[in-house]
Amino acid sequence: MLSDELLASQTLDGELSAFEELVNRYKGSVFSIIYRITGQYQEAEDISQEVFITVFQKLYQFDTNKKFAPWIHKIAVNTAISYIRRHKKYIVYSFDESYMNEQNNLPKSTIIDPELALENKELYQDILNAINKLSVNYKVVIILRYQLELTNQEIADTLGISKENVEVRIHRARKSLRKILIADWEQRGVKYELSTDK
Amino acid sequence: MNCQQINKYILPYCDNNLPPELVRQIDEHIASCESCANNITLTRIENSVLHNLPALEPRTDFTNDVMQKVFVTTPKDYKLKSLSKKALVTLIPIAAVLLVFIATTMPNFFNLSKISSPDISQMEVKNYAPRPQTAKEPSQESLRQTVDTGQKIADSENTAINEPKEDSVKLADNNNVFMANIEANNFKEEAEKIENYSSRAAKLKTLDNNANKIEISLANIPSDYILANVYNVSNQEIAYQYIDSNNNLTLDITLTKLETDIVEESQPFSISADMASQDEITSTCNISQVNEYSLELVNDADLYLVNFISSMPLEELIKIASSVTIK
Repeated sequence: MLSDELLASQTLDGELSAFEELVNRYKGSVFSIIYRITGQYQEAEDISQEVFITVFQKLYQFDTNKKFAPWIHKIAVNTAISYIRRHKKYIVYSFDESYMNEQNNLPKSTIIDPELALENKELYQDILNAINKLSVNYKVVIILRYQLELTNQEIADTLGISKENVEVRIHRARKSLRKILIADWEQRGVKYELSTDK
Repeated sequence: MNCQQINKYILPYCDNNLPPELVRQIDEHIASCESCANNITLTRIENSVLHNLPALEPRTDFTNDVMQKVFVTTPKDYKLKSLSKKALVTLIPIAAVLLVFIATTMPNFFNLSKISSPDISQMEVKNYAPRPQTAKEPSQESLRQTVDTGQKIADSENTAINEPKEDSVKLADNNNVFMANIEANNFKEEAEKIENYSSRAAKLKTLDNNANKIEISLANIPSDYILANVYNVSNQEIAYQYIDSNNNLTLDITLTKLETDIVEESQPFSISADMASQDEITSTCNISQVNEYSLELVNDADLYLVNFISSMPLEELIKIASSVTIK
């Protein structure tokens, strides 16, 4: 399989099929980043198209000696944040479709307490809602780390911060996530009996 | 190990990224601490949710839509840019060598290219002969009329804007110029170059003993005109050049300080459009599609001749000229 960087070079030489391959490889991650940040399906799709057009137009600026993934993810993050700032709105999340997908695709083997998790779909929804309420900076780092499973170095390259800073930001994002979750439970008077079995 | 220390290690503990000794200590702690045990359980549940966030995909025809837009919107532009990355390194030195070659072998090449932004001093020499001494008198007389009473302005209401006076006709017939050769006392050395070219107001700082500051402003100048250059023609003359790059038009304004002993009163003065159209026209002419219009203004007992040269229509030129004020 050709590397992303080679496909980028071929695109610069005028091979549109190479760019089409890049679109197919990255449409999922680009769309995920933008959808998680904006929370709107249709807008996320339009912005994703905008990202790929931008990538195509700016591809001559891409250094083919570097990795392509952080470069395109950086453009996706910046475009999504720019969209939010332009529209000055913080999004009414409609995670119904993602939540339904999640319920269908839950990998039971990876859940620490499968019984608890499956019996408490509401708990999962609470955590998803808490993710949505994170500030944009924390949300971005959470998406890159957990959804796209990027390494700390890749996240650092994407966000233009140091590797150490990535770890700090992830830690703070997790603390913020927990804070939002607990505050939500306290507000609703919800109390979960968590299984402590390992 | 206490609860606070445990809290610090919860994330790496749940990710199995701790050395065995630390893991053993934490295990011992949570065996007797329900709070920390709950904390770790919730962290693990959060991890499982985060690691299993559903994969999101756009519509199936997403790629086709993108490729259509890519194909329709930018192919030519893209080719150019992709060319530039690889070829610029080679092309720029070649272009530089060519420019140097042209500059050394054909010096007139660059002179010809100045048509769009003429040098005002060269224009004056080329198009207009020096003004004879007699040509100054009508202007001074006109000024007296304006300053002293304003009544005589009304007397000449029937004078059409684009019908030059008798004196003006004589001036045009003789190919005379309107820039008066008058010595002034207050102008010293050269004016500092204007820093803000986008400003509509051209500010001129003189270096005389009184540190006078002269400012020209043009209320009626179209927004397309940008102040491009300020020349210090001589100690008594400052020239401003406005350029309308959209329509390839230029407007050259020369501010010349005249003798001041003819002005008795010292009061600020600015000329209105009506006044300009009736009496302040010292001369107009049209040579090679270049219109010229002059008027005289008084400011703090100083007399100034303001000369406008432009390829714009005369009527528009007069409108702009009539809005000039000096402070």
